[in-house]
Amino acid sequence: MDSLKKRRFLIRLFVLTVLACVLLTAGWKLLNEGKSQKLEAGEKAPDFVLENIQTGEKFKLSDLKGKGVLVNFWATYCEPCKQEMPVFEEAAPTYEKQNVILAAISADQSSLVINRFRDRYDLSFPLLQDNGNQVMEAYSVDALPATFFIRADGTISRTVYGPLQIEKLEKYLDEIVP
Amino acid sequence: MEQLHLLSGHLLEVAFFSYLIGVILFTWAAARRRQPVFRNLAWGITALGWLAQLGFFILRWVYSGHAPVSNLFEFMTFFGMMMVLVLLVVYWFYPYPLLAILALIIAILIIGCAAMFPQEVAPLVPSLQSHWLYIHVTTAALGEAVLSISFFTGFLYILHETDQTKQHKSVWAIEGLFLILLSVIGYMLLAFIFRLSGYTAAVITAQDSVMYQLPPLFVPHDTVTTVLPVHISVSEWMRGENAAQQLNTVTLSIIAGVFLYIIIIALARKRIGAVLQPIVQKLPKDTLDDIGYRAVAIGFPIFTLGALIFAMIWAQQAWDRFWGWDPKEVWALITWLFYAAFLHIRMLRGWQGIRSAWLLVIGFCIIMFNLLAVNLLIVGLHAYA
Amino acid sequence: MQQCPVCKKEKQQSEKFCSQCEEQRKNWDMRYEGALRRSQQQKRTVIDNVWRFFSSVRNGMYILIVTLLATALGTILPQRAYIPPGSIPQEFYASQYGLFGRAYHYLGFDMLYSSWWYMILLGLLGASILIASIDRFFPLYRALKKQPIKRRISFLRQQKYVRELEITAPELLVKEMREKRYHVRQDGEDFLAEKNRFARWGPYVNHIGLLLILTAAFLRLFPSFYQDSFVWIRDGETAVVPNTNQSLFIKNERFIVDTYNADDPKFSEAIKLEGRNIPKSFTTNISIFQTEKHLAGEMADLDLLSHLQVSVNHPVRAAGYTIYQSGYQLNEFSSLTFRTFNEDGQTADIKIDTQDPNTEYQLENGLRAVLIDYYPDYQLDGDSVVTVSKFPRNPAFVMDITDGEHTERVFAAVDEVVSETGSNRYSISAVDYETHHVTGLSVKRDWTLPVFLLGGIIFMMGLIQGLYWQHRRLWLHKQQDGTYLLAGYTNKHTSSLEKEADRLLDNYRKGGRY
Repeated sequence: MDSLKKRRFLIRLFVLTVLACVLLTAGWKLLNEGKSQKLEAGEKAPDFVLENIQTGEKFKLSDLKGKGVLVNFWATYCEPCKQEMPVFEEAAPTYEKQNVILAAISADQSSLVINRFRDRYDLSFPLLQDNGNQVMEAYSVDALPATFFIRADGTISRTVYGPLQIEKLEKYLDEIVP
Repeated sequence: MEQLHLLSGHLLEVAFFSYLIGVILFTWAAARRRQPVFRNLAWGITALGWLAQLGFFILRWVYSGHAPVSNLFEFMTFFGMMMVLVLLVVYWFYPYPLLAILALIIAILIIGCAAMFPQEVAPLVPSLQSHWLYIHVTTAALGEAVLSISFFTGFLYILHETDQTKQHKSVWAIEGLFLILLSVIGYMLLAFIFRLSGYTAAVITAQDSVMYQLPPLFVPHDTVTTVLPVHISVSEWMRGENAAQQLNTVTLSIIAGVFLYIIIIALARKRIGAVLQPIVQKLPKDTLDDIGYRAVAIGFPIFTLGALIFAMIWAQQAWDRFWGWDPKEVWALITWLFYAAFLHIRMLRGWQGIRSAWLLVIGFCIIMFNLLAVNLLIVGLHAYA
Repeated sequence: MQQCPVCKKEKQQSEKFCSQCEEQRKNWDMRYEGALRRSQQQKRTVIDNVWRFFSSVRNGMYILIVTLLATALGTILPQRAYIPPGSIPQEFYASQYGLFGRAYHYLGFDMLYSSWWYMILLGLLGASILIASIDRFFPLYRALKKQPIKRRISFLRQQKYVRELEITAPELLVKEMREKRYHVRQDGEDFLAEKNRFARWGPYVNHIGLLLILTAAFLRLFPSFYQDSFVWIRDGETAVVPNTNQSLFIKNERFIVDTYNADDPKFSEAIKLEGRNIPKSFTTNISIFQTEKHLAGEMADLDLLSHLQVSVNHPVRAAGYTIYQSGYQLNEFSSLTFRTFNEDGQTADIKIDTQDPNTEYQLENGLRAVLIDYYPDYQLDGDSVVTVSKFPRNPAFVMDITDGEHTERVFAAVDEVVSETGSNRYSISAVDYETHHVTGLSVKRDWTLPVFLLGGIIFMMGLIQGLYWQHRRLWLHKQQDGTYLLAGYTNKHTSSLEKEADRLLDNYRKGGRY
């Protein structure tokens, strides 16, 4: 009789534990919903190749092994993005000397729009056009702006979704100096 | 082809009046219990009416090219038709004229209300072009019709069991149910009278003008001109589509219902429940309880299949998700949860009989709420039906 | 004074049984054969208490009713998924429904069905279904499996259907029972006739179905079981399907809308009532491309998998995904054409592609147009012009038109051309445009669907098994005085059992062997 009781207790314990696990997993999954999709620090940055609209050259991330890269996603119709562009322009030449490349990937459809924007803001660092939104998809970016700081070894050091805090840009860039 | 459409309309009228005659004959049969000839005649006339409605259904299908279950008018007439069908079958096993009268009156009211909605043959938008439309709607309507039978027996059971000599909650709840019923009749009478006299009233608001088919007692908050010297502007937060107009219709219907109720009370000098109790007293209450439970036992699987499973299969194809928390489907789920609860609660000790009968009444109210209120108050995907 | 039919003691005339038997009868529970449910034991630990809570049908019903009320609560105001796209929830609920709407949004009722507490309710419901079933099924199964044919007289007399019989040939009654498809067993001079025992398992079968459905809902939380993406694709364009690891690409060859003919006498009334054309079909011709190792940004090296046609209600399958037609945007501008007049009155047209406009256009009448700026979706923001998206829904251009001497700067959109220098020397106006459509495709991979379907089928089978058949048992017991006692039990619809048993007896008597 005692062993029967014990077995019964163990069965109950087992069923209740399974139920509790299911409930906890579901809760954890729900809390983290959407987070899992995003790229995080430490992951390898997806490789991409895009055309530099200024020079017409191919810009391939994997060609820049050994250099730190800042990848910024933006568009001409995105207000906070516009404010970041002059800041990048200012930082680009100083950091290029330290082997850090800044590149801004535009979601705009026509190169004319980007070119005119570049003229107006007098930008010289690489502006890339991601017409089919493939790179944006590869980086799981669904809202602009978004900025990725990539180390020389191709891993992500930091991600910033939404506008950058401009005073922190230098600190972040210093982190990816090889 | 046009002739076909006209003929189908006439067949519906034939069905409607056959059901009315059916009610009268069944009443007669209830009064003269010894003569089965009236009962058979009543059943026969009702069955003929049902065949006429089947004719309406088939001709409309042939004419429009799709099963006529795609808007509120078509669905409600079909629901009424299923209700009569289930009644005809149930009557075969349990020949109680009172049950038949109650079921026919409800069916008539549903078909009558259906006639108040636009009756034009409408083409199907792409998402409705699926065989699942017919399968889902017809099965769901059949399931709801079987579940309705449980309401009829539950209601009769309550009338049978409630002590009318004392004044307590359930006595007044019964009168409340009658008041709702009379309000629906009142609505039909009002709509019929004003439609017959060709009454329309234009109410001009800041944005556009609204045509009322009933005297505009309640008008939108931004009304500029109206026809009645006495009118009430509804508060600004009532912004639903035609909110003022719907409030107007509901209020006038309730006023008409109260009016009818007072007339009946004045004539009978008793509460309606008290008038009907001696008549209902002859029914075997245990059998009523049994039919009610049985109707749920039979109707619940049909309802599950039609209103949930078939609906989900279709939704997966048409809207790429089988469940979307659209108000109509949520209320189908609520109906389902309620009857599932009923099946369990009935097993608990002390929940048979009068308590279970009240649950059945609540269940039918949920079905009716889903049929009408969700469409009129909450707009969703099922805006068409 | 009369005899009580059960214990043969004296009883009150008005009562059916003596007070002692009545009390016993009330507490007698045939639902689980009077078998002791395991959860009802005496000594309890925490685990036992939790188990006991969930094993109670009454508690299960409380959870069910709360779930029901919560479900209804979510329909008072539209859920967030159904508010107009683009509106900000907080503002929408406050402005449309006032204080109540604000509270509704604040309490999270606008996302009620995915709220944590609704999930917990469903979880509790699942726990109740599982535990209550386990707690009942095994004792019931054992009790029915090894039920004795001979029963105590008090057991028989407690049944709802009891008849005293004076019969001589019980085997003939048994034959009648067999004809009614009863399974009859004999022990000595006692018989047990039983049918449709399987109906007793109906509730457990349907609960398994329900648990499968809840399990499927749980599995949906994992991306390996459920993935969905949505892509907007312009006519003629190719887009990568999100979340496919850049392995699946879809090209929209053409999106086609078909509407009903408003002159059709059948539907003309309804179309008039609707006030606009009623769509007949939404179809996209698509090409599917697959690639293994794709470098983001590159368009080459795509392998054509198939050409397909997807329309509403007719999803297609490709590469393990199901593709549904589930949205559209009509009439984006593909190009605009402006007409210019030179000094001599000669005309020439500039056709500007909205996807990729040139920077300069040399016109046939000697004029030259230089594109200064382009707004794909322009809007006036105070004094300045801005574009609100990259999609050419409302394109506008700023151009310099020049004949070498005079330069005119114009702002040119489809509905207006404004000269910034004020003269409009070249009488520029929009004369033509071309449009294209955008299709919205939903691309899904859902391995939980078969589980849902299987759960649904099992649930339906269990329902029908449990509700359309009744377990009926008849005990025929020979009493000491040589008369027989017929007792009947059914798990539901007692009146039908009574009818059937009476008919059995009737048939037996009609056989003239009474």
